[in-house]
Amino acid sequence: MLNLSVDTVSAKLCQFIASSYLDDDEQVAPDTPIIKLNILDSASIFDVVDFIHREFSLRLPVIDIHPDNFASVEVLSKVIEHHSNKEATL
Amino acid sequence: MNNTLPTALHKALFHWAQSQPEQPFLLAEPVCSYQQAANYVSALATVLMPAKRTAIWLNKNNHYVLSILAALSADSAYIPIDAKQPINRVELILTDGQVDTLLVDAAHLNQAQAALHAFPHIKLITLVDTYDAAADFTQFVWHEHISNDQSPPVSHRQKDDLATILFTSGSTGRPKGVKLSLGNLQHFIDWTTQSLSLSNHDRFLNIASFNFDISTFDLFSSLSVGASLYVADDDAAKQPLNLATILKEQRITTMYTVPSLLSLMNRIGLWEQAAPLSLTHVIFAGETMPKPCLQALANNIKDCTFYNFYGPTETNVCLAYHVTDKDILTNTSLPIGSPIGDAQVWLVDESHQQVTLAEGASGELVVKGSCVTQGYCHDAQRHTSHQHHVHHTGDIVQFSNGLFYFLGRRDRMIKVAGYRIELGEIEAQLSHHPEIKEVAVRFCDQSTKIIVTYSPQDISNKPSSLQLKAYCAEQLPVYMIPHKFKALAQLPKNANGKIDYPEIAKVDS
Repeated sequence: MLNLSVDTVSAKLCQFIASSYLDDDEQVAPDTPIIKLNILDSASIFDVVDFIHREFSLRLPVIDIHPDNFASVEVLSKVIEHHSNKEATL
Repeated sequence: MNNTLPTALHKALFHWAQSQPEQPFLLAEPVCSYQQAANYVSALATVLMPAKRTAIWLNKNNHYVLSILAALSADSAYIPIDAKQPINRVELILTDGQVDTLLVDAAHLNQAQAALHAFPHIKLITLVDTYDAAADFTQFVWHEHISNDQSPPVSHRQKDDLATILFTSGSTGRPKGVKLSLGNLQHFIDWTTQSLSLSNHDRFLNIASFNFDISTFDLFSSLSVGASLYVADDDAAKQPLNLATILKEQRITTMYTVPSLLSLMNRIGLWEQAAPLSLTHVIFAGETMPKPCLQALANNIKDCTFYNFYGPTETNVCLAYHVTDKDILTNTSLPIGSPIGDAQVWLVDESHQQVTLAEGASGELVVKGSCVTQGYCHDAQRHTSHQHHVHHTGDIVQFSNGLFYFLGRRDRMIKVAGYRIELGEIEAQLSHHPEIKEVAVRFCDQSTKIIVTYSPQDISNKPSSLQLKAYCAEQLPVYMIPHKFKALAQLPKNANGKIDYPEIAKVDS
């Protein structure tokens, strides 16, 4: 995992999700309910997983690929932070 | 015509409770034997009587299955409500389903009590863990009944009586209730148990919600042969890894689901990781199966037969196809098969004239037979047609080498992850938004499945996509919320003044 702050991770995720799944001028905020609003669905979650791997060099464990962990960018950023802390202590 | 109901469907529960009382019926914790299930169902059926139409609004678990069986045992139809439905939609289901009894769990009690202010005639029954003396609704303390022997209620129902109403998307803006009789279900279950050679050694996995027609196979086919059923709860069904774990640990032999879920599991390598599995029957329906996924399944699940089932809810499944090794190896599309049971099928052209069934002929598929359901809650014309056991599917198919191949739809119904969506229902809901004058919803299927809406809005008052999504979330199930919104100054119209959808597609290209 690259050494990035939670804010940076959050900003990059917001940008990726907005540019991939919303109209041109729309923004995603960290607390936007991205699953409840069908911005992400069960298939596009895996596009975000691929983005996290590509962008942050972090492979999310399959057990954490659950819609609840993708409820918002805020929630997802915490999941990513949790795994990066685990990697750092290994 | 013999109109008596055979001893299958819910009645099979009491048969197996006598002949194999200790056999596990429901495998998810707490495991429930046939005897325990029969006790629970008999007791709950007594509480439900004299219900005629019981809506069931529970989180998905063993209780849901037992509640369905209790409703049928009480001589009531069951009307399943998905736990995640918006409250507005639940109210429409209660109205159009002419519900007289609502069965809920503690998780839905507050919402149910609020909704029932508008339905004072509906009796509320709640499944509870502990009795509450102050409650003003009927309570069923389930664990008090599971160990006490109960006599099964006497059923007087016949095969034309209503078994269930499954609500699906409706083009007019209201969900459409498809009425299935006990005979419709029985016809399908008889065919599946015989054709798939199912037995009480089989272990079924239920993934689909109980308002999805696929679930009737899981529940009633397992019951009819005295097999065991694992009901995946909403949480497990959302996570592919959980499903792979259940398949392996529970030694599941039989599963019926949609190709999009099987593809998702393939995408993250779960079939390879989970192998070897005990699966012997994998059935898929609702969408076209991608060949790479089928090939991965066949490579990792040995000694398994794959089936492509086809049929709208209105026919429960009228065509089915057993996938052969040749189908797996070639890159041609899978046929939807040939008619099952007593179903007869033919093709009609745009003028509803019958098309000669020659090699290469195409047209709308029409079905006649015991599989055709009783019609809709509100649709007199279709209802008349269904009384003659005839259904015009709206699916355009081609006939080749004695089999049918799906080409597309005649109307604007689509499938997303197996969910059936009438684009007209989304349009109807969006048209009520104060800032939208007119709306057209289109489905883009080039690379990803995206629903796009168009509306000639006043740009200064244009609501954002997020605002429109939030509005839709209050009216529609999450899978029906459009992905993208586009504002047009004017919607293109054809010579008849109707929205010109092909012209709209050009705006997006």
